[in-house]
Amino acid sequence: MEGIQAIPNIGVVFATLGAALAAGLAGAGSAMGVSIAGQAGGGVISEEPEKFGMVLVLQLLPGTQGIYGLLIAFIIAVKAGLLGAGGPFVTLEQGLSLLYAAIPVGFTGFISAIYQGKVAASGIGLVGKRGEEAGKAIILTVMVETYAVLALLISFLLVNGVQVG
Amino acid sequence: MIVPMKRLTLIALKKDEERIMHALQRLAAIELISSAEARPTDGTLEKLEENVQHLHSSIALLSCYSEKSRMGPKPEFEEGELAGCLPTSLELSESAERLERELASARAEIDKRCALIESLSPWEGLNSRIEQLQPTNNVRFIYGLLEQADLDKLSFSDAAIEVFGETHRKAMLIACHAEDYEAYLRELKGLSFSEYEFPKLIGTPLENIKRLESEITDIKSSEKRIISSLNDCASELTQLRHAFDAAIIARDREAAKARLSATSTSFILEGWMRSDEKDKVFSAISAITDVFYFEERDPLDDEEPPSVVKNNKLIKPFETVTNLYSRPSPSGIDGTPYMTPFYFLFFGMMLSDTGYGLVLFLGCLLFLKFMKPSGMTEGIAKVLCLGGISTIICGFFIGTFFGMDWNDVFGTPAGTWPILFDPMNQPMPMLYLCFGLGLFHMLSGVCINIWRTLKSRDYAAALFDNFSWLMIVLGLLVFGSPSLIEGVPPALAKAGLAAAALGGVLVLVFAGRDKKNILKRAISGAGKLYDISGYLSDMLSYARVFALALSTGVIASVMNMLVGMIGASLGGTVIGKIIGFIIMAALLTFLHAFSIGINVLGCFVHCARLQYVEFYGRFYDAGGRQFIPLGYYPRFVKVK
Repeated sequence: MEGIQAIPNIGVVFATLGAALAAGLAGAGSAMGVSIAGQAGGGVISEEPEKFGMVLVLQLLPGTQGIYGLLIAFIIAVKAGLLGAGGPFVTLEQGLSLLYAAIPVGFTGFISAIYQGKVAASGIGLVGKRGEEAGKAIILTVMVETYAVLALLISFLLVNGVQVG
Repeated sequence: MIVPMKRLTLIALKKDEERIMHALQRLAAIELISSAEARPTDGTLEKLEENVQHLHSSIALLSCYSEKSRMGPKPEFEEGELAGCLPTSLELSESAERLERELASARAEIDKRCALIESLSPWEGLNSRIEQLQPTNNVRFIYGLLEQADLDKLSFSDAAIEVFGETHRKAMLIACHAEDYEAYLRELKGLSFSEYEFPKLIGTPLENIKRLESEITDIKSSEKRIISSLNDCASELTQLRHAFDAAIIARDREAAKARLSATSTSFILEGWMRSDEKDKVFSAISAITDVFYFEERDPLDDEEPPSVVKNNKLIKPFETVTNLYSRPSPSGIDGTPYMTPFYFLFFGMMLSDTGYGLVLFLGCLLFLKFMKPSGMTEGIAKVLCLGGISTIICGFFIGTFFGMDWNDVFGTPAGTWPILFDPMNQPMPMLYLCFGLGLFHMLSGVCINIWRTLKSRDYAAALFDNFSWLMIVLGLLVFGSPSLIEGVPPALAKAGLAAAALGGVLVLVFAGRDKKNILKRAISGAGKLYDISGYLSDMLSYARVFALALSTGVIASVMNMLVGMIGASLGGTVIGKIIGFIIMAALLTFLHAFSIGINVLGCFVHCARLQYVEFYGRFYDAGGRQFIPLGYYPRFVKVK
């Protein structure tokens, strides 16, 4: 441990890793989710172009995880001083804590976005068959997002709990 | 609240049928019930359906020739006005379809001639007339195409060969003795030879090609003429659309007539109507005739009337949110009035940025004013408009202004604004606030259910299934309060525990009261008691209010910060500042517009979910059916 601590600014390295994981994993999941939904959307739009608006809303829903990840990444970056003037500085403990705090939003974001994309795809199929039931398709899709929201909350509380200064 | 429905039976003379149906369609007050026996058709309905189909296809066809229709509210018409343009429009649509057929056949003719020219072109050099290339008694002809490379491989001793064409595949004409014909043909087939058969034409190939080319020019000019006539038709597209709506209205009325049973002199109409509209229906019919029989009665137990609700102007838009879930069962209660204040509050808390609220409010207001939407779009726009107001207010209490800290906006010392607290710096109080409001929300649902069960005289359900839970949850809350709030007397905490325990016993003993076996009853009660975990997880679900509030504010401030960095990097010269300002303004507008879009979408659906699962789950009877009266259902216009 002392060997690690001897490396200057090692805490900053971990904090950076945390920010990268939060934005990277959640963003990758969202990209997959949006793509799954988008592929289903192409089929419906080719038959009924006037349903584009509703399909777009459903396709966008798995995109929020990426934003949640970005949000936590940004708060971590600000907290670790990666963005402001004066240079970054966090201790090893603080850096590791920030890394762990990124795990909920990163992992849950990654997985929930993919699965939400699948629900969105089936919802898009539903819109194709019965356009008037679009509301229900949206609600089903949002049920998956609940867990990404909870993960975002915990990540935020954890990051917020790390005392830097 | 739910409007009670009446079942109407109307019998009148057949000679008045058309006028009565006109009047009822204008009223849009009666949903017809199909009669058991089918009425013989006389072809009118099929004719009207054909009109609809013709207009539909000619509108689709002409839309390709017309520039995009401009945005704007739908025009308003009287029904008679609309029907007036039907005959001319039907002619127009017929001629449009005829022009389209002509266009297709002209294009097919051009294609046919082009193919012919292509196949003749290798033979351009042949000076003989095609009709004269006939075999004689001694001489046979072989025509075909051969690869250039194979030309030298030919070793015909006794034949005249002519070769034409510029391409690598040469056209060749071989004249030979009749007795050699078979052998030569075999030899050629071993090579890359393919036989050619002249089409039945008169004249040399070159003459034919020239003739075909001049024909193509003629057809192309008539194609142009057809397209310009189609463009002329397309300028009447608006009229066609109006006629389409008129055709739909006429078709609907005729289809409704086909659902009634009739004798030779009279007809019987059965249907559902709102109980508050029966005088309107009655007077509309008595304005037409005195000879009719009018009977209304309450629905029987085995009948399922449509579900209709009536609310004041402020609550009405929120019916859209309820309908996205399900209409209320006609025998249940309308949840919308109870849900509205919670939706309003939670939406504002979730979006929680006064700037975004302002944009949302004004945007929806302008949309409603200038686009005059109807139906679901109107409802959602109004909900978002009210949500914008709520957001503006909530922003002052717990939020930001376009992602900026209020203290930066007002120049006040840190900690002055927002009024309540800043969720970024004080997350725990914000979380407790959300849980508290959530608990209040859920228990309100329980209270509504108590009231509902009391009204239907199901006192056992009111006490054991609902009131007991109120005791448990509130009792536990009071029991736990000393650790959160100082100065609560311990006696009160004990009383809370006692109330919770009593509630628990009530659930344990009476939840399975329909079971005779005492053991089964206890197991059922214990299972119900486990629902306490449902209350806990539902309460945690309200954390989303906090999470979404946070994400709006933080995303907005992240955008401000990013744009600020870009602005700072552009240098301090005057030109740099000007360019920087333009870029920053454009970027900020775009980024915030994106953020508003994605956040409003999230808030709308998450807020709806809290109503559906956490609130409606406690008392709402879903499963109502939409009321679809005979009326006007136009697509392109509004009927006055």
